[in-house]
Amino acid sequence: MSVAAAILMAAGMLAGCAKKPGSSNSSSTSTSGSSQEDDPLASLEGSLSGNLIVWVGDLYMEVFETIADKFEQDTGMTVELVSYTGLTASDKLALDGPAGNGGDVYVQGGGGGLATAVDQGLFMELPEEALDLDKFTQSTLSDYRYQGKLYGLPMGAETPALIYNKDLLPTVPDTWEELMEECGKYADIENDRYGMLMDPTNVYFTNALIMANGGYVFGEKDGIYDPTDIGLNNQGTKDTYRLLETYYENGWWQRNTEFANMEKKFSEGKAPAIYDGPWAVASYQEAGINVGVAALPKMANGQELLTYSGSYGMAVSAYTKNPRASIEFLKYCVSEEAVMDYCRATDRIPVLSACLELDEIKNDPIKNGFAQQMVNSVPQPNIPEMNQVWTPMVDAGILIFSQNQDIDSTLDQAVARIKEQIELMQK
Amino acid sequence: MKSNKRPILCGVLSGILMGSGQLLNRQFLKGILYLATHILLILWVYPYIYWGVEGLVTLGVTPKQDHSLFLMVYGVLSLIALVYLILFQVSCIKDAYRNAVKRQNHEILPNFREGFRDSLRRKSPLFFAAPGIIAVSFIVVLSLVFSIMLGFTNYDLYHQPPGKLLDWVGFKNFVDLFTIRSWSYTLTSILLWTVEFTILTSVLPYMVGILIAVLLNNPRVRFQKAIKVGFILPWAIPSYISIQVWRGMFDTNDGFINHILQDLFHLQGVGWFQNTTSARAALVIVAVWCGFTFPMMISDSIMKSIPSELYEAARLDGAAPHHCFFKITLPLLLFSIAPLFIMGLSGAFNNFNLIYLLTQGYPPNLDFVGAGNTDILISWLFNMTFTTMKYNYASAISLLIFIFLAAFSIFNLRRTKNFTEEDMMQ
Repeated sequence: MSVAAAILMAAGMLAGCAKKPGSSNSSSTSTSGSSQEDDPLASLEGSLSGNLIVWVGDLYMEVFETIADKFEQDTGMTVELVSYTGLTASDKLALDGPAGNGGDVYVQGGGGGLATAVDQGLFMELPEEALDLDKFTQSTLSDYRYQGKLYGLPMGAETPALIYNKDLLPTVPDTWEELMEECGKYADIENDRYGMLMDPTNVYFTNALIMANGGYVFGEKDGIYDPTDIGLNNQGTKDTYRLLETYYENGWWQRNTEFANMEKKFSEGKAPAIYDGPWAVASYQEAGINVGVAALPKMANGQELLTYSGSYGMAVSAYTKNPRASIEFLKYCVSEEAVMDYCRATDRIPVLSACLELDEIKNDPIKNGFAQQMVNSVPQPNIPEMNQVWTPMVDAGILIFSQNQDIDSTLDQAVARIKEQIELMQK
Repeated sequence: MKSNKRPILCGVLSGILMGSGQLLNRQFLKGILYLATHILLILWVYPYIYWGVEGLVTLGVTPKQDHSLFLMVYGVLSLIALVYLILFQVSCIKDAYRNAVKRQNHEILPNFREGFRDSLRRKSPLFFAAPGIIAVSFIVVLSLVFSIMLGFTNYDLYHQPPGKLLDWVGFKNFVDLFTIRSWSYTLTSILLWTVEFTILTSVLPYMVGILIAVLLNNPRVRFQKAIKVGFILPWAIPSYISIQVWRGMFDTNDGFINHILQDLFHLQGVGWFQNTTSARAALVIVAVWCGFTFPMMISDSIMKSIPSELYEAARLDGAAPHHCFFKITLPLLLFSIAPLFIMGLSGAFNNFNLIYLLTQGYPPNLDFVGAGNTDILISWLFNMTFTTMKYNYASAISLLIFIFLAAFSIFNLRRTKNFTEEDMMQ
């Protein structure tokens, strides 16, 4: 027993070296971390001096090294770039922030991921008047707004568009209906040939058609979404599904086909076009397809087809002790050169209107195609309730197109399911 | 019989302040060491434990400053440490009491050095095991208790630390699971299918495996080794890959299986993953493919070890081959295989890979919350954590699964002959 006594004595002495807990007014902090300052959100504290810690993905390190060098030269501050693996940056921040070990600026995608992180209290609201926001394309900037407030700045963006096989479809027709008709002529399912392919079960893609027909996912007013107002079973959405169903009936699409299989068919040259994201282009080119990219043509009734965009950029930690320098660094990240650097490294589309006019984008047929679509894009609803939309709608799509369920009642059922899940989620 | 007032006094004193009982026993060095330790504990260690337990109770006071999940971890750590400290104090009380009894009986107490050596000798297994025990209690018990505790909080999408604090909600999540109609409907339907799935995907591979092993052991079968190698192949391929291949083969339009059905047998192709029965059948077929090799190998080697005298004697008594199989081979096989089979059951119950890679829960069912017609409990749990972000419900369900499986396995293992009987041969 005495040995145990000795061990415990040693443990007690070691513990004695650590900080004594539970006395500060912040009630408690971690045993090893230092305590927080007073609320840093109160005003733009900090100055352009000292050290700034920036968390970036290890993939695009060089881009941020260039930005950091310029920032260091101009301000005399030192910038420490930290790359992370495993968890996403915001997951890291959720653990580090309260303990006082986190960074100041974090790489952070827009949309739902940002919204969740903001709900977790991880990122600070940015002062809009201090930032030159007019230079951004509006849908990408909206991706960084949550409940009307701005929580970050985008650098690059992505959106799906029309990807076509130039050998099978030399020119893109002017309207969506003509496009489907034109591609439909090529389709012959018996002989393994198909029309213009898309994933008719995934709202990420079908939303463009749903919106053009008067449907919507969540009702929206001034960038604030209303999770109780779901338009996925209104007349416009039902019409959209009826339209998609005719493509099956015309023999342009094959039932029971997963989207991954459709992508395979396109890369085998068995379909003239596919409505897909930029991430797929490289594999089509490798497969030897003469790839062209264009914006989706508008509908015959004049409605534009607005795709969903996703944006990637930076946000400032709510736990930073130097908001002023952090926001200054953000400005460096969205300079024209930095954005172009970033988009060259990531193959994303620049978020600045001025960059879209550059020859580098204009003369690149692939990038120009996606950039054209970018102009006709909308951000995804970034409220957490959006998580409950995807799966029931995929389920409804499968039931309608593969199992011949009635369109109206299935969509009603799917929306009822979404509403129920949102209710359960909020319990 | 002497009064034991003094030993009790020593014990109580040591219970209040460690070492004081020992001092009363005139064991000064030991007493002072105990006393010093206790004072150090009170000054430096107990404040941490108090703070940890307090955090566990309140789960934080200021959002963004207090991270409820951290506080839970610290709280559990404190509780574990507290258990050790209590054990330590109990041992000190016992020591004081025993030595006081010895003193009453006028036995000579060993001096510090002797006592130290003596306890080192008597408790040596404990000392060797101690690092392991302590590591297990802080690593395994911590994570286990932590994940169980989540089931009693409101940890979900809207309550994510550090922005929001968590709260204890008692048994609300468990009550919700059974009372909210859509949850309970999903839970009961999925539980039912999970049990069917477990039984089918664990019994059938064993039946197929035993059948093949019996056929292979028939002397009339030629090229036994080559055939056996062929049958081992499904085992050699990682199931991750073979399930993907099967998924391709089951494809409605381009799948190998439908092509065979159509071209060779001129039958209608089956929409394998489009209706519930065929999707479930597909799951069972693939489970058998992935799972029959192991029972086949085991039964093969068990059959090789059955003494041939048994069969010779049976044959002399006029037993037909099927009598030999049912009276000799099968009972001996089952005797050895049963525990493996039962342990395999819990694996089949939690066969996430198969569902996730083959059907992903499809075909869809809009009456279920976050699940399709082929989802089993564990894949539903996955959906719930990653799409619905109901971490608390997921934890509650996993606790239910754990209790269910543990009870089932213990009950069955205790009933198998292999577990209850020492002798293998009757």
